[in-house]
Amino acid sequence: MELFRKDGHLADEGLQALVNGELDEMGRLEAAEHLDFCDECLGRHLRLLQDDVLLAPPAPLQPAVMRRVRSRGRRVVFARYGAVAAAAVLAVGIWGLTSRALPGMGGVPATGAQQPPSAQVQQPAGQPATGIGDRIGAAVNNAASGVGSFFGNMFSPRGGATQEDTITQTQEALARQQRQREEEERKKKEEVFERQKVQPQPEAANTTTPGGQSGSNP
Amino acid sequence: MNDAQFGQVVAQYEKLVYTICYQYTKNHHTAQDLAQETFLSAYTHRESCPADSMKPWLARIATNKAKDHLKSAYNRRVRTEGEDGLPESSGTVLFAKEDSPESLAIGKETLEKIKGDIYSLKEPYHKVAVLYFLEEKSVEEIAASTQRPPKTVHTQLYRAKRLLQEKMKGGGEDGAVP
Repeated sequence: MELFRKDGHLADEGLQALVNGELDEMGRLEAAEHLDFCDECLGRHLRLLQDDVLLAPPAPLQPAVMRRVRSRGRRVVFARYGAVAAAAVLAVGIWGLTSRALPGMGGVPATGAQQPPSAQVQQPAGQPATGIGDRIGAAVNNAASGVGSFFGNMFSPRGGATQEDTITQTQEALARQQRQREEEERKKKEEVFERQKVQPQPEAANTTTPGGQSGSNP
Repeated sequence: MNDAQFGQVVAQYEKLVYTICYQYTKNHHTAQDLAQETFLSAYTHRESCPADSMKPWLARIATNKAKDHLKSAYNRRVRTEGEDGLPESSGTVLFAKEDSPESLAIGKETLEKIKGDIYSLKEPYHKVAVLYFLEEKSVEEIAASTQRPPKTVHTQLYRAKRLLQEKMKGGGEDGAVP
């Protein structure tokens, strides 16, 4: 029995032997390797696989296949959005830790904060930064609660928009904290400025002149 | 295609896919596993299924899964057994890794002696062996002219050399094909 014809395609008797289960291991491997790329022979193979030849699997395939399909879908969702949430928590945590660890960070303006041109105010020396620490702690708590609700929503899906909503909520929470920080900085500087107006310093006339010499530190 | 529709595809073609897998593996348990893998792969790539070609598309995936399984089993068996069933450490190994170019080289003197054996090889090894060993075509050129994938050509050349080695051993020579 010849498995292949001289032109390199599977012989009719070879295909029939495959269907009948008469090929040895090498014969089955050679047939599989050919049918893996040859459309013509695959079509001939399929024509031999009529209903009277088909076998039922020992157990129906549909339940097991659909179970694995659903399980794979859950893993993809978790991997995709879990990575985003984990990165956000990590970034906020590192930022919070470094802010507490580094001294003298008080009075440093936040990124993009607008300072009035006249407020070239010197931070009084020795002013404690506890206010900064409290604000950072509040910011971490707000971000964590935002991320927590993100996770909560992820496992209570309400459709395709849920994950986007929670990401938006987290972004809005972070933007709110940023605005809060800027507002507090501005108020603090205004208070100091008002105090200086009430108790004028010898250099006060010069400090208010744009481009003028600033006075020595009080 | 949503999940419910895909479930219907599975129900419609499970006998076909399972039968293909069983014809290659001759093992019900392995055929069941490979059939599941076939449908999972089909689900992953369901958007690339050509219109009205679900049956041959699934048959091709099933054949590919079965081929990989058979090839893996065959390679494991070949690596652990020599020609006479002894482990390779007995010194009967004459081949480098199947994928390396060195594994296909045959010395010119030896080629002269085994020319007749090359011509007498059966398909699917005859054509590729003649083109490679006697006409010195490259694997890529052979793949293009025979319409076979380059990897398949390489595999067939490797087996052709092994068959030639067995013929030479059977002829009383040492069988070494350098």
